[in-house]
Amino acid sequence: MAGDPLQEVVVTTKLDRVLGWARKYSLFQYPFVTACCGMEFMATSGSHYDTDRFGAAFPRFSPRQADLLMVVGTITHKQAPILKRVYDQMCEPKWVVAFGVCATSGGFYQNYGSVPGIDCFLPVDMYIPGCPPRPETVIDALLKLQDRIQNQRQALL
Amino acid sequence: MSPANSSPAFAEELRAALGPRLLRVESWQGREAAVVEPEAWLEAVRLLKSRGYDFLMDLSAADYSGFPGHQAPPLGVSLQLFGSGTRRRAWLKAYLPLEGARLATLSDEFACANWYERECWDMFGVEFVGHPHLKRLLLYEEFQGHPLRKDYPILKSQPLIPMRNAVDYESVAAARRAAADEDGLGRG
Ligand code: SF4
Repeated sequence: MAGDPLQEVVVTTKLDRVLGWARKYSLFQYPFVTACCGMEFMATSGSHYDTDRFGAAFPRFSPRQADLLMVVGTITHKQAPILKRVYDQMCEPKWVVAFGVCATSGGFYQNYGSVPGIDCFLPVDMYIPGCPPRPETVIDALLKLQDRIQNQRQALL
Repeated sequence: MSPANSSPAFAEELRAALGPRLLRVESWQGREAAVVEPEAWLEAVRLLKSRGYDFLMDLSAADYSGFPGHQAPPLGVSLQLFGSGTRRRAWLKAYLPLEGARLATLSDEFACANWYERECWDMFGVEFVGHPHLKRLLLYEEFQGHPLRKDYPILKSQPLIPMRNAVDYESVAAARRAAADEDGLGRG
């Protein structure tokens, strides 16, 4: 409507979209780092690659303050109950990223000790391939995850 | 490397002290190890320690079940000692049966043996008699069996929490065995 004074100052959108926009740029990570992939995770979070520019780098070391669980490294059967507990303590909405092939599928470990992929006991939103993945792959996954958060149906609790 | 009839000095010292309880000197890729009777394990270590081998570098084991040409009992426990003054090393070995695998603990001689022996118990089920705290080191208490023994099913895991879409490893292993038998390749 031409000449409507409101159009100058008000942006209309959908609640889902605005919540998605807010959520995707305020990801608080819980880094669950168990193995060598951790090095690459640090490289990605460091100033060189700087995931902060995507609003997705702030680490919280309490699961109660985090909404993105980064599982970085090999998960053993001994560790699995601990990881499950961390996940259970996180508040909704929450997302899980499997970082590296060990978290994704167990990688080359197929034995008495390791879990063949964290999706055996956790819902996973994004898998990052590589042993370890390059920072570009991680950033790509983060952007894809943000895209997904933007477009998902936002549950209001 | 060295001719078969000349044993290293540490083996000669052991032979002098233990006599026939030093079973033989084994050579693998030029490295010689003195094989002693399991009952002489602690005595041999004490002797070597008194001769200046004052540092326990490593203690580990291997299951030789099915190893081509292996005659002795299957569970080989080995250790390496180092003399910090002489800069010499000594290798000692004992072979144990799988059932009732037992050795005297070295934790009174070397404090670091405590954890080596716990790991060895955890992975191979060697019971170290007299150990002050023989408890699993790496695996969890609920774990049944000793995974680095050859008779532990290679794909068997023992999850502590329920696992979705977990692979049924027993049937995978059975299928692999069947395929290997069909190919005439044996069990591998
Ligand atoms: S995926 Fe590779 S680099 Fe990452 S934890 Fe596993 S072994 Fe280490």
